[in-house]
Amino acid sequence: MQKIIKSLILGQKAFMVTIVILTFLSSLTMITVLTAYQANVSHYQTAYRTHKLPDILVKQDTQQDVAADLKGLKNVKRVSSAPSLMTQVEGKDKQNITLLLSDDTSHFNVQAPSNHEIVLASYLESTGNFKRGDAIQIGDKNLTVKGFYEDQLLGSPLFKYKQGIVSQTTFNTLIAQKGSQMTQLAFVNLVKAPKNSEKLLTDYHDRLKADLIYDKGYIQKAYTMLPTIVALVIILAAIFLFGICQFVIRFALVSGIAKDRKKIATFKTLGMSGRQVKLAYVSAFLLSNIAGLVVAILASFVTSNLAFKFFWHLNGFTSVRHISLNIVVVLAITLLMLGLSMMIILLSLKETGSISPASVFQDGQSKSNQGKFNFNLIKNPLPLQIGVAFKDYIQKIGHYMTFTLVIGLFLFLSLMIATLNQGFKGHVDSLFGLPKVDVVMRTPDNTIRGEALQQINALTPIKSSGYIQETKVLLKNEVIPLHRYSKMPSEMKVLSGHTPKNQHELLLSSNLIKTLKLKVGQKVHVKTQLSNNTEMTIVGTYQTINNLGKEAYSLVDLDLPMNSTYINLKSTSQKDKLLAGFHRDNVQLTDISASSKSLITTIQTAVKLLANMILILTLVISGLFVYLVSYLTIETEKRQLALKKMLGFTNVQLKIQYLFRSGFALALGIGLSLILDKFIGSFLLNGLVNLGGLTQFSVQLPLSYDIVIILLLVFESSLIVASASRRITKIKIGDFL
Amino acid sequence: MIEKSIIQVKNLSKRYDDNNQILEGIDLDIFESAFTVIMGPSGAGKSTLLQNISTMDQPTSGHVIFEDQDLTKLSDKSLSRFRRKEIGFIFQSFNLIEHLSVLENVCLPGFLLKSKTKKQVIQRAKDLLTGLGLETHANQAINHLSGGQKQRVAIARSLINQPKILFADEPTGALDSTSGIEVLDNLTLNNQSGQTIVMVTHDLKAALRADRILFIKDGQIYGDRRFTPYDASQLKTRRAEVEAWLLEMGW
Repeated sequence: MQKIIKSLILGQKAFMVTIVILTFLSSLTMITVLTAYQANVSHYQTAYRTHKLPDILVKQDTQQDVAADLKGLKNVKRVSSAPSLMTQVEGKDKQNITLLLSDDTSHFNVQAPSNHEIVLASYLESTGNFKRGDAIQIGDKNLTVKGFYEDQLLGSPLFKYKQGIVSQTTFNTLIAQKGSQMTQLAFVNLVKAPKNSEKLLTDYHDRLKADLIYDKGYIQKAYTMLPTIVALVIILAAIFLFGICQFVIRFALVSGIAKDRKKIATFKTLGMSGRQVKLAYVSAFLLSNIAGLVVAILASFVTSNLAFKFFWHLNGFTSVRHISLNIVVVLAITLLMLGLSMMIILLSLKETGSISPASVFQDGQSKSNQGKFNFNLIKNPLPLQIGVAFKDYIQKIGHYMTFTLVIGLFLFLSLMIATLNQGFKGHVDSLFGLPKVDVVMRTPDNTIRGEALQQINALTPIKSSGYIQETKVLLKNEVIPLHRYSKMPSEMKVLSGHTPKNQHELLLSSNLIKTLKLKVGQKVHVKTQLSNNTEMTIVGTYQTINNLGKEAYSLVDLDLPMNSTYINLKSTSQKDKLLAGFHRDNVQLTDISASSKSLITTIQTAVKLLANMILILTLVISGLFVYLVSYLTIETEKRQLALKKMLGFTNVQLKIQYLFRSGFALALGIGLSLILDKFIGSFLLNGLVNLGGLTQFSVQLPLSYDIVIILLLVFESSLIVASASRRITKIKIGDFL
Repeated sequence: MIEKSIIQVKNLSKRYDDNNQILEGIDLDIFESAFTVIMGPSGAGKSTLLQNISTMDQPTSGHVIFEDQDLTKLSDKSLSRFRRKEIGFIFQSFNLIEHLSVLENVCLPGFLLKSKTKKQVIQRAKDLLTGLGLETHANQAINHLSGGQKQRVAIARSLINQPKILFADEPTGALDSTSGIEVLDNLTLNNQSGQTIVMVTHDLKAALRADRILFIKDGQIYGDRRFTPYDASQLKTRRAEVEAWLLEMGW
């Protein structure tokens, strides 16, 4: 038996090596990603428990302690509070950075520094904003950056504000400084956290002024969002690899059995039972699987730590931590891999039962028939070479279907990954629910607004601008951000109805109207900061540039200063030039996406890196598979090729037929992938990013990208098929007939 | 009658990679319209000789001349053209393309040659199948035919382009006695209408159809004997004559 297994392994060396490689790659990626991902989640949970963090962190711009008011609320269990300061400082390239300063060290994982010193969240160092020893000016006070702290929750770049910790004395001296605004932080623990964050603290009388800068549900989602997306993309690729591995196993077995019919018949003649023959095949193929799996498990000790470090960096942390292999994950992957492979092997081996010595040795020819789909060579109008190629293709459609499916799935994967890359490249703002506004200008009054805009336009041409007022309103017991623009930004699209024409009309984002189960034309009661009960009519819906999108637009009098102006530049790339070059007293320009910039860059780099890696891997593995299929097709058809040569076909004609056959399979694969991409691609991508905590993914891959990827695959496949078909020349008629 | 040579074999040798000499210095003429049979003990080199003459294999040295062309010097393209136009081949194991129907198998070399329209090729194939008693099987799959029927399809295929020479390697080897006789009758009939046939066989019954028998031994032509054209009514006398000669050759 051992000798037979050895002969089976050596007889199909190319396939066995491919199975080992594919099993290795797919199990390694799955074990690595799942272990690292699980470690990332458990690190969050551990950190949450260790720091005894609250369910909600409320920021309210007031000098009064708000703890007493919050304590009396129905769902609140415990409240502790601390004063803090909001201030603007100058960071790298003279950009304004809003810092949230506190002297509270009980909730932040940090030691208080000495007077006139500041400790900053560690990602502010890794993103190059500050370094140790830098001087930060607040009003007329100078603080020295003493160091950086790493807090897995409140020191994360996912946290809404950039944080700095100062001593109590320093804090007290900063309160009076110009540009600092006193604010209160309230750490609230709830009796029971509601599922919907809009419903948090809705019974708080000052809820519309309270800013929930942290809630447990959101931050956990944010904390695991990037690792989730990255993990899902890699796992998706690993599943594809594993699927391909199963195809290879099936393909190798079916082709191998067709080739080994005589060998199997001989084994049976020598007294081996059908079960023993099957056992030999199962052992040979499972050994290849096990070999790949064992190497993968060993390698995953190293790769899991690398992946965890990568996830850790995605969350803005730099400290190195060691994780051990997750035994449950390893066991689950092992069982899944071997179980599925075993199933495929057994299914593929059904054919061996029907092989009898008599049927094989009768005329020495392999079993073949005209197949389920017949194509008549006599009646069709196709040129002979194409006709014969198509007939051969139809006859071997099962064999080529593997080729088609592999190419189709690989191309589908490539298109999805490229779309994802494209989405993160150009639309990351909307993916993260960030407004697509280049800069916001704040002026103390309207008088200098026009002059400032002219100055900006001279520096960098403006595409559009207008003032914004933002507030919060209570609608159906949910806190909704309400915007009033001087005119609707062009990026906003009215989906139904019309824009508000008076103060009693309300336009809701499509997401909000769906969530609140409202209808266009319906009258609703809205609570604003000025009025407890304003009746308004919903006059339409709009697609927000902010895809989180639970917001409203109205002309309601907000009694707020119109001191914020949104500016969209003709060329967004000019934003940095504007921020560095614009100076005017009492006018402040803010890049509102600056706080997320490093995060966005990290995401874009990570997704781009992943996309490129997966695309290369896809091309390499599909190339390998195409070669295997091509090689084996010629191997199993040597006799038929010799016969065709005998009938007068030239080598060139046979190669052309062979290329046509692969071309049919390739075309079908491309068609399949395009259909999959069209019908389930966006569904799958949306599911993927939703699982990762993002909201909507409506990116279409430009046609030129589709064409480039398809051409690349066609070029690669043609080259490989043409290379494999050179073997046809070596076939001698006399050796086979 | 003056015999006209259609193929001249000059000093042909065949040696395999392991230095195993199969044929050595064969000189031979194949005559037009003759029914030549090659016989000899197993391993003597009969099939190798047939393959080398018919361009199915390349000799190690020597020449095969057909109409002033040295076939051993032809390019792949010219060789393919020679195979499709000038020769037909019949094998012991039929070597039909199994996923093609009977009619498709017969038509394929005709389509490939392109000397006739598609319609003409199909008509000729149908005529050939009718002549061989297979008209009702034209659209059947090869797997549904008996061995004798398969061999008759192979004969029809080999004749579709009206080749100048028909080569047959043990055409009755895999057939029962009745089917074997049917196939031999078809071949004889074709030869009687002027078709040149070169056949390798072990079968005495098949050899009786020849008007020339070559006896190969140890890679060389050991005997070359002419006979009168086959006449079924003289079978007994012929059998004795052929058997006596073959015994003399050491058969």
